Amino acid sequence: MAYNHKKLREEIDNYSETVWATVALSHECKWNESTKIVDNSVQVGLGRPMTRPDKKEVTPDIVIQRRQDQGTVAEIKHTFPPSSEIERRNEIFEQLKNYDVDLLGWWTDSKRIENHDLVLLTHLSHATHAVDFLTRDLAGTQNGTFIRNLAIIGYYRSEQDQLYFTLKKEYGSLLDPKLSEKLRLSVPIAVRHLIMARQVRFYDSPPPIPYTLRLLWEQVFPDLAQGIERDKKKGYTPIPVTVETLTQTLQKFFGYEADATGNRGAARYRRLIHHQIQDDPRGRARTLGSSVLPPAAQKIEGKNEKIEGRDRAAVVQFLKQHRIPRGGQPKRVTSSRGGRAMRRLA
Amino acid sequence: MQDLLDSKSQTELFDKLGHYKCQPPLQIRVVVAGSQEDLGALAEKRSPFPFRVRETSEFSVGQFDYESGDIRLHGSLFFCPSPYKNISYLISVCSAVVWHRSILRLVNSLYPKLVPVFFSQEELFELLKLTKRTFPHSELTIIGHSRKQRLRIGSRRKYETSRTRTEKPLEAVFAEADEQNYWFSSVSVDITRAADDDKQLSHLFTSATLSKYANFFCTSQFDRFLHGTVNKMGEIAEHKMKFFSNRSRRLTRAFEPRPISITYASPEFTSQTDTNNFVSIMRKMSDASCSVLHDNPYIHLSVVDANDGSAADLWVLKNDEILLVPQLRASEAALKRFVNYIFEEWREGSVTSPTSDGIQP
Repeated sequence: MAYNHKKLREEIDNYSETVWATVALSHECKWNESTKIVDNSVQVGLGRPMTRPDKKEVTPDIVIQRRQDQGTVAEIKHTFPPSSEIERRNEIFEQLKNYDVDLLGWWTDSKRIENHDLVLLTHLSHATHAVDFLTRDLAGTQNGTFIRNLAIIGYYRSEQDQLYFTLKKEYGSLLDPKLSEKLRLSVPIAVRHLIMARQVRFYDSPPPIPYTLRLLWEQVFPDLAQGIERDKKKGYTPIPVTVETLTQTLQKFFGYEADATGNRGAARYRRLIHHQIQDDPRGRARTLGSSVLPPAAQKIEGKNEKIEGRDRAAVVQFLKQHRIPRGGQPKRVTSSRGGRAMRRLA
Repeated sequence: MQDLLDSKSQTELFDKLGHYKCQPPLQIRVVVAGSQEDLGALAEKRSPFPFRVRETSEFSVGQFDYESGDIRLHGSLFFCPSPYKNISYLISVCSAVVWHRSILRLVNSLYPKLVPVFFSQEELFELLKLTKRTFPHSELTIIGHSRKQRLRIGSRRKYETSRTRTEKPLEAVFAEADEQNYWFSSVSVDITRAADDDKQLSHLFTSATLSKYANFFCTSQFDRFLHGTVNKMGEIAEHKMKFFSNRSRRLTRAFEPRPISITYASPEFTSQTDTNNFVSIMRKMSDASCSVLHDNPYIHLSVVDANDGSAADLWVLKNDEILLVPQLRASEAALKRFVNYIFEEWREGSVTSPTSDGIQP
């Protein structure tokens, strides 16, 4: 598939917006209206495995425990499928229905909680479609009937005097009536506050590959390259890395760390391997070379089965635009120099 | 020059420099810069030309003597600690040729271990006012300045630069700059004093030049400049070093960022054209890579210093604020360079350190 820069940017934009949605919802649930500060006793887990009574494991996108007796389980779908894709639409509510049982895995001694509500978080432009589908098409059906409170919350970016990220409840209610009413009226959160608090770049879903590559390339590798001498024979600064350490670094600085309470962390190790950011399943140290991972790049140029189609084209395009100069730091290059780098790799 | 090299202590060196009267093309030239390392040893190791350093108990002195093209460049550079933590004065008595071709070349090669200092126009004005106060019974006149004026965005040349010779009072020159929207790279002054005889004719007492890159030159009266202007430059440099240091996310408790906010008195980003112009300026930054992650309606750029790998995200989310969010590696030298580049290429604003407390507005 041909490389489509516009499409890729759109995908990255959607991914970033979804990440903001997770951060905004977590922030809103943590916000204490009376003290006007963030309540750090509120627990948030991304991609946290929960167990259903039938012992089946489910992994909601966000699990939030606001109080010892009250929690929220949320699923994020930036895009709600169009009306022609009934099956995909059904799957979303089926997924939510899976969470409409007593789940095990909360931050309590018994790992159970008295009650929890369900949230479908989607872009505001799709929220009405989701509401219509639930209230019309699924009315009276098993997938459309929930025991617990279900709310459909839309999110969108808006610009006034500055950029805001707004959450607005379009349907249903939450266990906390105050929060429910607040969300009904819409909650604008200044984006500058979201980015200043934490630098979250991942949620529990794999991003477009260049999105991860960029973070590694511009922010992680230069840091790792410090103190490593340039190898004159090789002509570059070799940086030994393992998938495990890269994953941990990304989780620590740009996502959520795995912890002892059951959170698996995001970005996820398996997904990084899947993306072949560094293809070493046994976690051995491997040397990254003169461009973004020449070993991986050569595989991409050869017969790599895991990066295909548009993803492959996107990585190749990324390689064309980046290289590590003499000092060991990443640098954008002009297309002709990039072309030479590509020929060398090929 | 030999008597300076024979100085046993810094006090003796400064005392000798205080009595020094330079004849053209020589001047006493000072660079105020920050570093957490021993600059003498660092310069010997990283100098782009042969450079021998001798340590004394209080300061280091480096000497060079080499051929460059058809001329022979030789001189000395004193690395003197200042009263301010991590700030040094690099002093040399030399001509403009040696200054540009040897000393500045050496100073630039020490980046990012040697952190350059940049002054805003306001700071430059304040320093010159202080210089005026240092010589109470004298008159300070601006005799020349190098200035830059931003040209229309999109034109091949970014600035209109000019070197002007003039004879105007300090306040008038800065008021004119403010009106015509240009900024000074350096300002040269003459300090004249009334003669003691009955004719009351003024005579030139000393001359000095101050640049926004923290370079200071004078022909004489070094001791007075040192205790006034140069020490104030050191104080500002120390304040800036503190402000820009320890901003790497690796150094914070929960790896949270310590952003730098550049705010403007009036809205700077009111249209898509402004946004495009700003992005195009940032993409032209030398020795840095700039990735455009978003440019409509808000701006999100990733800037990486190619010299030391320092990275920062740059956000424009309000029309009167640029937010620089340092990442895993963020040296004070690189952050200062980013901010100075924005000041020079876009517009000068106020730099503050916003907190993320009270996250919700």
